[in-house]
Amino acid sequence: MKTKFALSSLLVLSATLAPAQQVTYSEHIAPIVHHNCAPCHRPGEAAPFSLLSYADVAKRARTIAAVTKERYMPPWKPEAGWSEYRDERRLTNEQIALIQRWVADGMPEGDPAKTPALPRFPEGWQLGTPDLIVEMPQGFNVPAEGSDIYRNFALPLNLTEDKWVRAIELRPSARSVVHHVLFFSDNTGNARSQDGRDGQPGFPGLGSVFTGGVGDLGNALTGGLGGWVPGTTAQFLPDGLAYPLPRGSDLVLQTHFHPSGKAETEKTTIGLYFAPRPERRVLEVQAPVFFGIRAGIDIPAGEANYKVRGTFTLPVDVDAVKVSAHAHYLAREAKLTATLPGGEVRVLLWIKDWDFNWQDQYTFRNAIALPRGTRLDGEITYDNSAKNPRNPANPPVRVRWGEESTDEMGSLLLMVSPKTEADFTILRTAVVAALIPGPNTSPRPLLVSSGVVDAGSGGNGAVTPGKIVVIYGSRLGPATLTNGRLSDDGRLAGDLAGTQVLFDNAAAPLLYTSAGQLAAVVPYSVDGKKGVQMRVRYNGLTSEQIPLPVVDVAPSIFTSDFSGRGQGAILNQDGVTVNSSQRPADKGSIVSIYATGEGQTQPAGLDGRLATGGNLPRPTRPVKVFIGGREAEVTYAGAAPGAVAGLFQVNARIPADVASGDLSVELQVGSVRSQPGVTIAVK
Amino acid sequence: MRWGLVLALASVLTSQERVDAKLEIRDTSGIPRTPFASGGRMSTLFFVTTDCPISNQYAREIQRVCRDYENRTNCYLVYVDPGLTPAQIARHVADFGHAGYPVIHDMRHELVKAAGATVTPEAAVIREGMVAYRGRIDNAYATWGKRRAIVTEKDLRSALDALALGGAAVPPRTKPVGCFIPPLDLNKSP
Repeated sequence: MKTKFALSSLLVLSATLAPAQQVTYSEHIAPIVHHNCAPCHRPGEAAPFSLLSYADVAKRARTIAAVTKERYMPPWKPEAGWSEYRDERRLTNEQIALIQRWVADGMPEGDPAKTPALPRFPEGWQLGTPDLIVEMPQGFNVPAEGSDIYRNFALPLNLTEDKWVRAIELRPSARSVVHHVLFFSDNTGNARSQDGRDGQPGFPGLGSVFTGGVGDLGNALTGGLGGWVPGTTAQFLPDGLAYPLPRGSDLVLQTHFHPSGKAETEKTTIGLYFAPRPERRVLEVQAPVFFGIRAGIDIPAGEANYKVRGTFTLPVDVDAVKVSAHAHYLAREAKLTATLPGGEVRVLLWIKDWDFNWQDQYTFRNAIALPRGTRLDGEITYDNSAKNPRNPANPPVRVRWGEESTDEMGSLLLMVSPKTEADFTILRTAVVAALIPGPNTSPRPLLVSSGVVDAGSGGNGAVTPGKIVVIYGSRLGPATLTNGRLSDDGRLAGDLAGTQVLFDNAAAPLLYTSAGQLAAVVPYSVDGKKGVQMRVRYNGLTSEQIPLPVVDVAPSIFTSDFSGRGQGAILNQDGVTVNSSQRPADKGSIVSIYATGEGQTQPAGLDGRLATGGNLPRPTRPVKVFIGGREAEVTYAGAAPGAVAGLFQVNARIPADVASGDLSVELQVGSVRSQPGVTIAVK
Repeated sequence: MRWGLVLALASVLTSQERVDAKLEIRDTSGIPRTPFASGGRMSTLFFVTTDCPISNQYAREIQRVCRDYENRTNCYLVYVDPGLTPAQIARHVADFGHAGYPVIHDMRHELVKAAGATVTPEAAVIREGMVAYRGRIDNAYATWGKRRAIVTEKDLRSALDALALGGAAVPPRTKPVGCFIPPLDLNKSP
């Protein structure tokens, strides 16, 4: 595993750094640390130690290398490549590889004169002097250890007129224990009446704004007043937008405390920044609606892959401003897509490693225009097995919707701005109407994978014409696995033992089907589209539809154990022996690599057609192969003879000057590379 | 299961490292200590630092273990960061409530190297001149930032229980999650 990582990092590095050049702190590492770590890792900020100098960083270098490689730090949850957000803290693969190499080389400092100057970080309030500063009247005692604490504090603001808030900045007094804070307003007095009832400031619970009496309904509809997590750069709402804060409201803080080993007292100070009444208002829409209260969340004990989905169709044109997710400890994945009226599918947020501790709100770099009729699909995946370390119960127990941290919620939240006051009213009515329960639909086929899984890489993402995909679920097909069959016209059939997989309305050729899993070839009719709706039909019952983004090419190499990593599915030159470390290929010999995701072909792909005769379909985009980081001569790239359209074969000659052993192998179609971590054995 | 047992036994036979029982080091109040020779008793060394959040979150559990096992083991709290000042250590000891066992500033990593510690927090149990257990205190952390809601493996306590009865710690080595102990020779550029 380690070797593979090293190989792929080296590949990445070779693009950015001449091999002989030494990685030094001053030239390569300091710019990464200054920009990505120091904003929080400096005195007075949220992180536990400073990373401002060579000594600071070198001392913790091994830890830094480990946590950046795991992408635990810098904390940034959304998957790359779908939507762009402000203040992205994600490191690139190249930056992570640079840190690895620097540490492996013994952390050389280089020439200190070349170290860039530290950025100038603002002292005190990051956004300037606030219009209103409020402080918790009394400190809240956080013990040295114990479970996390959720505490709500109602702070009177004594506003005599309605205000508009464009930012809230928070200054904790005991930063080591304040994990994150969500802001709400409450003009009902409900929160204030609960505050202090148990003798300590505030009141317990993580009740949602709708159900637990934290804040008022009007505030709930606009999505609260934002939040603060470590690493968030205090910022104003974009485009002159502002949250409403009616006169007489209390400011409610919902604070998540994390005992640190040392008893602390927290007395938070909050700065509010006001704005003139904005021209456009904001509203929060959710899918599933209302934190999943109508989504039927009922997670069996031990279930590792439980899905909840909900949709919301926008009745008016809006601009999407920011996005976030809400769920508790069992959630593992959260995804929000928008299917535009023209069929394009955009992924607005996709978190594959949900962490309740990092409930960030992601402001789009540029507001995203979503026309009337856009359908939002939210999907949350829960892991209620004993293997989920965050499972609050051991052994696991059945979990249903509720407000406690041992219950679950689930929704994707999108803050949008309608264009007119009339549209705002229509949208707000639609949000409230969405509370009405829909019909029960339980015996239909149920999809559990997030869309589909790439049969080659094992990952999930966008589909391409001809991509071979695996779909997981239940009630997808017959109890016993049934292999694909040829229809009367000699093509692989799109209906098999009662199963059909529809991409928009085209049936995908099926390689096999069973109740829990099937494999299909994405129809070529998706070519040129930007999104497609996928459904599974079994014995007349149809699943929900899953929106999937479509791209032109997304090559992935099959691997011998179908994990998407390790030994590639490759035949040696004799065409009989399978490449492996026991049977490595000779340098200079030609091997056949099996892959999928090469996109459209010439002649154009025909769904389910078997590749026979002359003029086999070739990809319309150029194909390259890299073995051990060297470009290899490609002697054939096209349909695998005898196989279904979509199975892609590339014959390549192993360069004579590569090393021996398990070498990396990558395929490039057009400008897109296959997944890293696939190997070929070379003698 | 059976394989696990075989592996565990194999590792008991092969992985114990001998330490120099005579190694003497002064604690932070200047008293010479021989943590590897605790007068016929076991020694438990806790490798910690001041600014590792995971290490700090174990402060109370370290105190509980030392209290619960005071009849069976001597405890030593070992600060591994050579850059710390005596005042910083004293303040950390007081802030996090450590009391009742010697505090050692292992400036030259004599204890770190002898016991084979790699991260903070990490525990090492010495019995009869051998590192009889080394690794995590429990499984509260699955990895960085992934804290278990319910601790299910109290490895150090299990090891102390087994060792106190004359048996072997199974497993004798566990992988601790925390902050890596920095090397001493940092400024050498190749």
